[in-house]
Amino acid sequence: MRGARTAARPAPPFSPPSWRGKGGRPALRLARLLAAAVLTLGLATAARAEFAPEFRQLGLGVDAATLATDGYEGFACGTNGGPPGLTLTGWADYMKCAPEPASGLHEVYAEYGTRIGRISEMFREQFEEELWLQQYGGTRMANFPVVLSLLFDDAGIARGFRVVTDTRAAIEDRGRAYLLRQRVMPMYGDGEWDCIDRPPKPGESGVGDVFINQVCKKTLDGKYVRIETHFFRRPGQTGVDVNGQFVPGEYDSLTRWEVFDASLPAAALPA
Amino acid sequence: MIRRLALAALGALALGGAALAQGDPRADFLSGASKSCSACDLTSANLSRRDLAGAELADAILVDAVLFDANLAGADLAGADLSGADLTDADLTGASLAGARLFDTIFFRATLNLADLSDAEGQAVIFRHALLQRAKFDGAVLPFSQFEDTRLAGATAIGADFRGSSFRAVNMRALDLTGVVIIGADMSDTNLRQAKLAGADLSRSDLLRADFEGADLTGVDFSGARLLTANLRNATTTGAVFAGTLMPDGTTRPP
Repeated sequence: MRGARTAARPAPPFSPPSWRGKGGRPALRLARLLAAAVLTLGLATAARAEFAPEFRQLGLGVDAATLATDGYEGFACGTNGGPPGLTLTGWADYMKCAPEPASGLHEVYAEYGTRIGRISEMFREQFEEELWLQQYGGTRMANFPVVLSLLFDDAGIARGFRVVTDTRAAIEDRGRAYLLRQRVMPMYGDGEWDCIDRPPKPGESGVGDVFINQVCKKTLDGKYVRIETHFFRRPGQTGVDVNGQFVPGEYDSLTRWEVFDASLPAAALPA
Repeated sequence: MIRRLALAALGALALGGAALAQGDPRADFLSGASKSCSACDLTSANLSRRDLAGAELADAILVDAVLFDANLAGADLAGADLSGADLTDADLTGASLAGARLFDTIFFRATLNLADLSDAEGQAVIFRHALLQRAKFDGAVLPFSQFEDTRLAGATAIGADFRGSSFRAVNMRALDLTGVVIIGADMSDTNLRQAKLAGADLSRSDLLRADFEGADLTGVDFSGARLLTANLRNATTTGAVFAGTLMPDGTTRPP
């Protein structure tokens, strides 16, 4: 008889016995669960899609544990846009990098295109001219040699993206490094930039008539974008020697492009 | 009993409070709360772009530290160990590096005007493109270092040892290099006009096209050096040794 009753009211094939054991209305519970699953999936998708990447697949919100290392090499702890520090095996090693004092984020440096870069460099050294491949070689953006890094929080989620033109690049590359901003700023729209032109400090001077020490900031789509540009001579840099001869490369020329999650505490965001 | 326990607890709290007030100099320094960390172990520390002007880092261990673009103007780094450290683009104007250890240290395009590097010790230091005007290298021992494209106006290097180093095309006009040791160095195309080189050892160095016009070369050892097409006009060469030297006119002096 019990068997006949069971046969008359078969349990849904997808309903686990434990649901029935807890009592209540299975259909309603199922609906709630489905709704929760849809919501969770939606939120997860939204979280992933919240930030558009800044470069290739690199950008805010990416997870160090799942971020592909293919195409990247030379992983190391970043040094605030400087030379690489402790060698790493990939993004997932972010916790080996000491947190930055202000933001508490862990900076991971990476390179790409080094093989073509080396070939281009050898070509340039031997023939003293640029190989057409050079723009595809080395860690370059828009043909500017750069230092690239992602900044991860303790959970391994990228909350910062940093690109600084490589100040150790050849003179001709370094000389035009300040122009990278012309390629970056339009990516975030031309209007509503909050820019400050810093006046020269004692001993600083322009390169000819040009003195640029500018910081531009903008918040959009949950991102805090900051672009710092330098093109000036530091104290002691004159561009000519005591004999009046031209000395190339005596100036500070760089673009520092940083993007942070705008939801970070204000103290964590660079001013 | 309860009173004793309470007193002990109070004592422990007071001690803990005192320890907290004293703080950890290294942690405070790394967090940016302090600029004082003498004799601290800061091996491999990332101090890039940090404002460390006037920092007290005497005898600190900064081996393999990254101080890229850091502001170290007026900092006290006397006796510090900066071996393997990268100070590219750093500002060390007026900093004291007296007696510092500088093995494989990178000062590429750094500003070291008025810096004191006297008695510094190291090897293969990279000073390329650095500003070293009125820097003091007296008694420094820095063999196999690179000084190409540096600015050395007004610098002194009395009794310093730069053997095997490269000074190619550097302007060393009127520098006081009395007793300097630059054995086996690349000094081709250097401008040494009116430089004070009395008692210096330039043996086996490449001095191709070097300009010594008006320089004091009293007692300088040029043994085995290449002085081809060098300019010795009005230079004081009293007591100078030219054994086996390839002279400006292409002749070789007997060894």
